[in-house]
Amino acid sequence: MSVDLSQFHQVFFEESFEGLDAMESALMELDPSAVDSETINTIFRAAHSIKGGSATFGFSIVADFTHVLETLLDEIRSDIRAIRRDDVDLFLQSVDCLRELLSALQQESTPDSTESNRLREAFEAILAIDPQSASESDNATEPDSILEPQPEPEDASIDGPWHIHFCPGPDILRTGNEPLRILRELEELGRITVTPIVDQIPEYSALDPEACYIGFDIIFRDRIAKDRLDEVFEWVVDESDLSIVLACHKSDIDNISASAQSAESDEWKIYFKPCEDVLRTGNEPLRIFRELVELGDLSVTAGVDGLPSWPGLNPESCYLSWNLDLAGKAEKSKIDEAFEWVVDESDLSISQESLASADTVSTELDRELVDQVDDTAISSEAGVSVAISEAASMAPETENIIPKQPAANTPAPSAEIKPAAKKQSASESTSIRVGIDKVDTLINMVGELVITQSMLGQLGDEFEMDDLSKLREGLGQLEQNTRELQESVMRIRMLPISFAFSRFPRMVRDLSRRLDKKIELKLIGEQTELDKTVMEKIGDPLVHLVRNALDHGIEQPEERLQSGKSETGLITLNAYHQGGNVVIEITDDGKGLDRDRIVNKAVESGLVQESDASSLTNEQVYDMIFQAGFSTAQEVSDVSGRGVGMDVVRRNIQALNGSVEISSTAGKGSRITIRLPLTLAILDGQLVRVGSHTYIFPLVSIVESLQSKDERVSRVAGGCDVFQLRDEYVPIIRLHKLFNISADTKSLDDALMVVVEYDGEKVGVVVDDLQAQQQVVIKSLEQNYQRVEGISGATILGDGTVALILDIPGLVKLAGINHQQTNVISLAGSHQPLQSTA
Amino acid sequence: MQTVTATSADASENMSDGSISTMNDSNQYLTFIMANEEYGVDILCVQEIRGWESATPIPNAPPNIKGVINLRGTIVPIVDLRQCFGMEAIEYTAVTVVIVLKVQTEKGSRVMGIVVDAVSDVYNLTPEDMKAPPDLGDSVSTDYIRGLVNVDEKMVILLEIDKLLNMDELPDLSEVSSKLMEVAGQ
Repeated sequence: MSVDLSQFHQVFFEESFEGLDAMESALMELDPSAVDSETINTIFRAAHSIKGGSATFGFSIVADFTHVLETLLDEIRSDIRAIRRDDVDLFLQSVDCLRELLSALQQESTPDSTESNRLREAFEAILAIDPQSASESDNATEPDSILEPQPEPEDASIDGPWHIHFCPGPDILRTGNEPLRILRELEELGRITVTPIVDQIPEYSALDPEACYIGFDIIFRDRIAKDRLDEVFEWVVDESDLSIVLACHKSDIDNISASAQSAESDEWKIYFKPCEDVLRTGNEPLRIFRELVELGDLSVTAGVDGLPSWPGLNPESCYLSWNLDLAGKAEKSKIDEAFEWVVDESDLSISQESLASADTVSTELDRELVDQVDDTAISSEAGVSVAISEAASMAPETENIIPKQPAANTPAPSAEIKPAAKKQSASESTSIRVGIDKVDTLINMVGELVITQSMLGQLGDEFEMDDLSKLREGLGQLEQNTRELQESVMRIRMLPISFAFSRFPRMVRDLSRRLDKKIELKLIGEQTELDKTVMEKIGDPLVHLVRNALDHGIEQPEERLQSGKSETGLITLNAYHQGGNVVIEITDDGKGLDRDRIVNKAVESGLVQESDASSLTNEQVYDMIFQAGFSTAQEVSDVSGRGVGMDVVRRNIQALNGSVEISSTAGKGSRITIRLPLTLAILDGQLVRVGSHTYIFPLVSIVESLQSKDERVSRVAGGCDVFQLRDEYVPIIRLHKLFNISADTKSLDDALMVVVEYDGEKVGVVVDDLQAQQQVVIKSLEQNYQRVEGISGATILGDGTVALILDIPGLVKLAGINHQQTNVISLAGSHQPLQSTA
Repeated sequence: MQTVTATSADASENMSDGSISTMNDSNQYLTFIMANEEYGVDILCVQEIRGWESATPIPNAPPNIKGVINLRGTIVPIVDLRQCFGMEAIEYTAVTVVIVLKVQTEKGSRVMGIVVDAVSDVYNLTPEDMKAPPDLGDSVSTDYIRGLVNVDEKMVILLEIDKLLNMDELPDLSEVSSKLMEVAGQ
């Protein structure tokens, strides 16, 4: 097969990783005390697909490892073995291990097999433990399928040798199966001798190059459980004529195969080297072999030593020689008869050997045979008749589609046999799976857009003023089409947040064991959709927060019982949409944040003055844990406590235009709320004007806009003005001052105030005028310039000019507003600031 | 204004063919005029030449950053090179030219525009034509200068654009040009 398998590698890897995810989540669901067969089946199927795929692509390290895994799973599946809790751990470890192997292979580096070998040994140890009880219970019903995965012949509970008669259906190659792969898999299980059955091959003219006409008689010489063999043929058993019987039972089942002869019978060894002209004399080695097949079990090894190089090759000559093993009680005269026509012009020797001596050559010979089958199978698309008659004149690997032109400039294709051949694949590209409904919507939208466009085009061709209303209507339609199109394109990038949540069950499980805590994890709103980029970036912060909740939040079981809570702690991850945001809440019912400890620590590290400490609100205190280097953990564990993290969490979330806040009740638990924009590419914006400049506020951050009044403004010592907004005091940012530009007016009376909220705090921004609200496409300023404080990006307005998008937290920082100060004022005015956290 | 007799060639033709430079080991340089001095940049860095159009100012940016423009959907910052070199700012007119350059930085390539008085010519120059910038003392770095060339008795300063327009620290070159002139005059 010259199909370049590497083009499917990416798909294989993606599917395998998906399979591993499925395995992992099924393992997490698995309750060892009450095994659900459907769950086991899910795990088994995933393992099986990975094994099949990796074997096809030649990733034997993965295939071998998965095979052991699969064997154990199969025993569990068929209720032969009970699954224990330790097994689940082992399975989970092997999922990790497979992941590593696969990603190493994906990056085309050599995978590290230490871990897989260790796990494999562990699995093999498990498999070796209680086959006795297993086989006893099994023996009664199915004597032939005693399970023993170990191919070691010294084990008594398995059977062998096996005689396998395998005639694949003609369509087998079209269904993507490959007899060669099956033979290779068999070879991995033990020593095999393969004899092709070639009597089904039609005449050359009637030959369909895509059909498989070859059958195989396989003697499996080692002892092995029948199930293991069945497994190998699992994919092809439906479309093939397959029988697997014990070789020693042969006499009972003569009807299975005409060529089935006892392996114990005598064996003829024939060396046959026809002269180069044999084809021109009208003789056909293939015909001879066919005759021999009639006589008994024939295995053929082609010798290619005599094959000249391409330029010197005469397509009508025969350069091959054959070593034939004919098993069966054939008479020498019959064999001689077969060679009657060619004996004069060939180098022929026929000798008799008993099986005993044949066995001594077994291993080496087996390999040869498999190699030879390799060659046969490679050319099997074109049919073996071509392979044998014409291959006499060609390299055996050739495709044989055009047998008369063997000197075509094909490079020696031997490298193609191994798909693992070093090929620098294109840089790894990521992909997302998109529901077909989303794509269909998109196509519909584009259709509508095209209609609108042609309508407008027509209108423009012969425009008269009377058509103005029509034009307006058309433009309105165009606008709607564009918006819908934009939304559906955005939806393509949206993935359910379960992609980010899926790693947590495993993590919580592992960590809770390590920390000796009992923890239940509840996931809510997994179907909430989120932009893929946001999803990728929110993963790590979430991990960190959940770890924190586990490590610092939830108490030890004894402690929990003492404080009257149930032994099992509860961590809830909840995601939902709110306005243009996605909100993710991480709630635990642990001990909550320890205000005193945080304050002490803050005082200790000089973040706050001791005198101020008592006047801080809880929010302010909790906010401190987001400071860099702040950790109150008494000891640093490998889970958390190093004090790096929360600041990184906050920075990552803010980089996504999101926010994070904490609320906590001592003894009851804490809740961390993350707000994220749905997407990073498009923003609902409010255009404002300051002097001659246009800026854009993210609409989501605007609380209200109002006419400002000079008398409501009071000046605070420290340079920051505050504005009395109903019962709160809100600091003021004068945009023209901040950006050093000229505004229409310096008086607040004529200006407008846009009240924006960020991090639970409100800020009033003074602008000259409010303009349109519109969706804007966010363009990066950093790409060609650099980060600008107070500006999160730029966009292009309808007239082609650039407008800058304001970054509220950046503005606040730039203005140097200290919320502590303003809060003190609001306290003085005996008004609590609005609590934004639930 | 131009008394140059050096080989001048059609810029656009050679832009499309990038192999010219390797043919005879010469590079092509686009030169422009600022305050009657001629400066050159490697022509392969030049993306396009545009007339001046008003840019959106960036708040609190240094005065030599004139703002950003929309270049077919990309936000491109505009640098006034005159101000970089400490020359007096001039009023922009309809003939003021923006040269859009592709600058290679550690973070990848950036597209930036420089405002100059006028575009002058395209020269084929070999490394032998080039003289290393003279040592101007410790106070003035010459990293931003690829070399000096005399074309028809007139000095052309070839700029190392990738270093000059590295945004993290736009250099103050006010002394460079004046000192160079002094050195050249000697």
